[in-house]
Amino acid sequence: MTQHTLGEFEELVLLMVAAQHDEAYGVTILEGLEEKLKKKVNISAVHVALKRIEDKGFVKSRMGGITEDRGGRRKKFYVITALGKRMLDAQYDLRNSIYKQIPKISFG
Amino acid sequence: MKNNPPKRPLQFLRWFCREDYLDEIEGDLTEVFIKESEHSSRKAKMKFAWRVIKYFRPEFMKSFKNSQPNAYGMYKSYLKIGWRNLWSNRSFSFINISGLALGMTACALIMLYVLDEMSYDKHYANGERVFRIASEVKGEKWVAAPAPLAYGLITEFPEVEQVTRLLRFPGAETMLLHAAQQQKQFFETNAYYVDSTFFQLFNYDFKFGDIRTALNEPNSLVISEEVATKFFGNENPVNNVLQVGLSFGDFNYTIKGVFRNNAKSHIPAQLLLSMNNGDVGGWVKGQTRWASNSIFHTYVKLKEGSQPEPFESKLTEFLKLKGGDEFKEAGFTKQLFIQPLEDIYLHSDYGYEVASNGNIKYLYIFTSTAAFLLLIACINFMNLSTARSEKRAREVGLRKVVGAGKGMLVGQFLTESLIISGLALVFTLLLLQLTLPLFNQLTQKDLALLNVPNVAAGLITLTLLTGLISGLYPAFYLSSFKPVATLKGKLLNTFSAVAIRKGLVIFQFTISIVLILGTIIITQQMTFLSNRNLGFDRNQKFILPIQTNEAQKNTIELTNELSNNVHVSSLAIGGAYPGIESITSMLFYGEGKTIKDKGEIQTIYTASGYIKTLGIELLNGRELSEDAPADQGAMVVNESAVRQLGYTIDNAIGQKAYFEFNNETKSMTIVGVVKDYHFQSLQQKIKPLALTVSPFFSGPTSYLIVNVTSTDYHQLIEQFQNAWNKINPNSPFNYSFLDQDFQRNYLKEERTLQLIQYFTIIAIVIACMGLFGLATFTAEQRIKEMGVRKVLGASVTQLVKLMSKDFLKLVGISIALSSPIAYYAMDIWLQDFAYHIDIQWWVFALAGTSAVAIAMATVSYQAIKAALVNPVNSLRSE
Repeated sequence: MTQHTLGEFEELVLLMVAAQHDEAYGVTILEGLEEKLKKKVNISAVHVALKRIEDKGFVKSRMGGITEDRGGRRKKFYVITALGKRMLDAQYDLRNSIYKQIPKISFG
Repeated sequence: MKNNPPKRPLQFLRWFCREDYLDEIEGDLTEVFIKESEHSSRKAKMKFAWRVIKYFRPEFMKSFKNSQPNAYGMYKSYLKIGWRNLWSNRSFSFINISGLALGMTACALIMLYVLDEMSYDKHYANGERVFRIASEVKGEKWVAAPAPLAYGLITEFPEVEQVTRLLRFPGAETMLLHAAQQQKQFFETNAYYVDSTFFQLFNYDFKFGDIRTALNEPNSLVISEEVATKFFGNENPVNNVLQVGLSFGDFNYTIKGVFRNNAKSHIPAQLLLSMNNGDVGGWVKGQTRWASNSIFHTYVKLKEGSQPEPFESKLTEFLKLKGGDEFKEAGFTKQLFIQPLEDIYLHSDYGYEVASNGNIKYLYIFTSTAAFLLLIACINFMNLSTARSEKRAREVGLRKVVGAGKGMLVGQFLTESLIISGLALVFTLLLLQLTLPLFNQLTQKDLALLNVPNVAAGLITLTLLTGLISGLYPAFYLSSFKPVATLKGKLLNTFSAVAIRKGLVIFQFTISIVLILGTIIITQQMTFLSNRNLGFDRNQKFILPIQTNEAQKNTIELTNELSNNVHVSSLAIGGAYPGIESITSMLFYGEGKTIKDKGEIQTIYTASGYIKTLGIELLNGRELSEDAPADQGAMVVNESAVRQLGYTIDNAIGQKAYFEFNNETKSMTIVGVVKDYHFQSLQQKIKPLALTVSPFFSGPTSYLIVNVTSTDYHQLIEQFQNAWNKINPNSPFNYSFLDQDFQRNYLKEERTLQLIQYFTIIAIVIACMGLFGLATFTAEQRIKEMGVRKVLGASVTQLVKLMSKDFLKLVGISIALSSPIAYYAMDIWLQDFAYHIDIQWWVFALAGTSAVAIAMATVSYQAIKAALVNPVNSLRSE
């Protein structure tokens, strides 16, 4: 199996899915990201990222029940998988370890 | 509700988006939309649409590949079912396909013909600004103008950009061309003298030479590619000298250009000679009068943006101003009008045309006949489909029960009719290949399928059209069945469907009978024309045209030589002979009348023996003799001329007829009166005519008319040729027959007759095939009824009568409908002839009887077959 990579935006979406454990679907992820990033995010971009990380096996999804609002369409909830969690951990470790190598120079 | 997302983007999303993503995407989008529309509904809608568009990318699209097989399967099923249906009803399919193929072939042929006829004069640059000046005197239209008109137009009308004249010089239509170096000589026709500005109005496609300077010098000549090839092969002949031999001399011309005849024009030029020349040039320059010698075809090109109507309205006034005195003197007035160049070929059929033109009337006749033929074939399909609808009613019912919509059923039936018209197209192509040579021969054209642009598109359109016309009614009729009724097996042939079917049969037969009537009447008229007593004897007459200067000089020698031939009973020289155009005329008035009573009398220059040779009946007086000096001032006139001059046949001899020439009054003495004879074709009434031996009335042309007693024409031709070659070694021998030349005036009518005859046969065949199909169907349907009747004691004759009665009723109605239509149409056609037959009642009876007979023959086969079936067989099973 080839090593899957994780793009920057994909990583953000994956983090958001992990953070909103079991409650994450398109709109909540979108709003979460917009809140954190303080800028407008494209819903289609979110969906593309979700499809990709789902294909890579970092998240799995389930369909919610039928609701009255949102035109009678069901929600699709995403949960992070163990693989996704490992990927996030690995990314975090990688960044942390490199970060630690930064000499203590003052940028003041 | 305010909070619903916009409809169209949503539809679009649902159309392209993957099913399994749709819930999530549409749901999320809607949720976002609802939130946003709390602020501004309009903005939210726009944003929604924009977002939907952003989803239009491969990841979210459904695989259209996967969705296709459904529709594909449906069409496949349409085709399969359609094909099976055709196959299981082979005889009906055969009737349909062959009928449609015949109709489509006729349509395609006529389409080719009409396109060709309409292509005349459409290729000239700025041709829409070119007009020909024509005139009208006392209702007679004439398309050439006097010589000074062209110059007058260019100098005095600011809207005229350029003018040019074309001169078809009477007597110089046939030229003997001689190339000294190549030692070749040929007769060429279609030679015209033109002004140097000719190519500024008519841009010919030059192969050699420069179109801008070609006619700048006097004695220049431009020839067609065909003529050039005959003399010079593929070499460039520019600056070579060609000798032009005319009856009044030989003249040298320098070739300045070669043009390609690759588009059609009402000017079928092979040779274009500069009008500034040594032969007729002097005569042309001397033409300064406005009221006489109107033989110059005058074309004007108007400046861009100027309207033709105001120009046209000024013309007559202009002519009056210029030629006022002359017209007063001549005692008539002339109206001028213009003819758009592009309309000349099809719409102009008046006096002194450049060459024989087409006729829009015949295009209408052919086009409508072809369209009707196709319609008859389509009707066969409609009738057979609806008549047999019962058989398919269950199928329709069942399909509807399992969920087929009306649209799908219509689709299926249309597919079937398209299969049929597609198959018909295949046969049409085969038929076209077979019939095109014949058709070309008939129409004297050179049509080929591949020469026509967009021929494939045309044929496909024709096929689709045929399929749709014939398929639409049955498709909607069949698909409108109610499933419950059909599955119960209720009788389906509703009153209206039967009525429509009968109506269509009546329509078919009406057209067929109109065509039969047309054929009979045209044939009658043509027989009438060829059998009519013309007032002279047209049989066994050779015409030897005197076309070269050498032959002209040796006429007397030739006359003497030929009169020694034992088979020659008489011969004479004449400036014209019956059936050819004769345009020389003079205004005469009789004794005791004034100049105001002048009337036009056609004049023909003759030599002694003309009246005797042609067998014209002399009513009073004597024939002219060119040897008697007194006869130089004498003439023989026909009855019409006598009446016009105000004399009677008995008192005319010795009377004088006066005319004015160069402001002098001159007179001719009448020495003989002949019975009116047709010196022109029967389209024209007999006009006043005078025969003279005075050279004053002679033209450049003459013909030797030879009356022979033998019918061994091969031998005679050989003898004549030998005599000719001995006397005129440098002029090729040429001959024709008087009766054939006379008949040539009816070429268009004869071609029409032949075409209509073929059309009639095709129409009858197609209509009968349809009738046969219907009869077959009825026989099948009524077989049990026949069985019961037979058991109860009906005879075969009674049964046949019963079966045929319904059809004959329809044919009877058709006869009643078609008679007035045909009468009206043929009456219009007959008005073209000054001498024509009256339509008689028995013509209708004949057409009616033959229609009934044909219908009987078609129906009775099936009727007899049905009547002869053993009732045991037909009633055995229920």
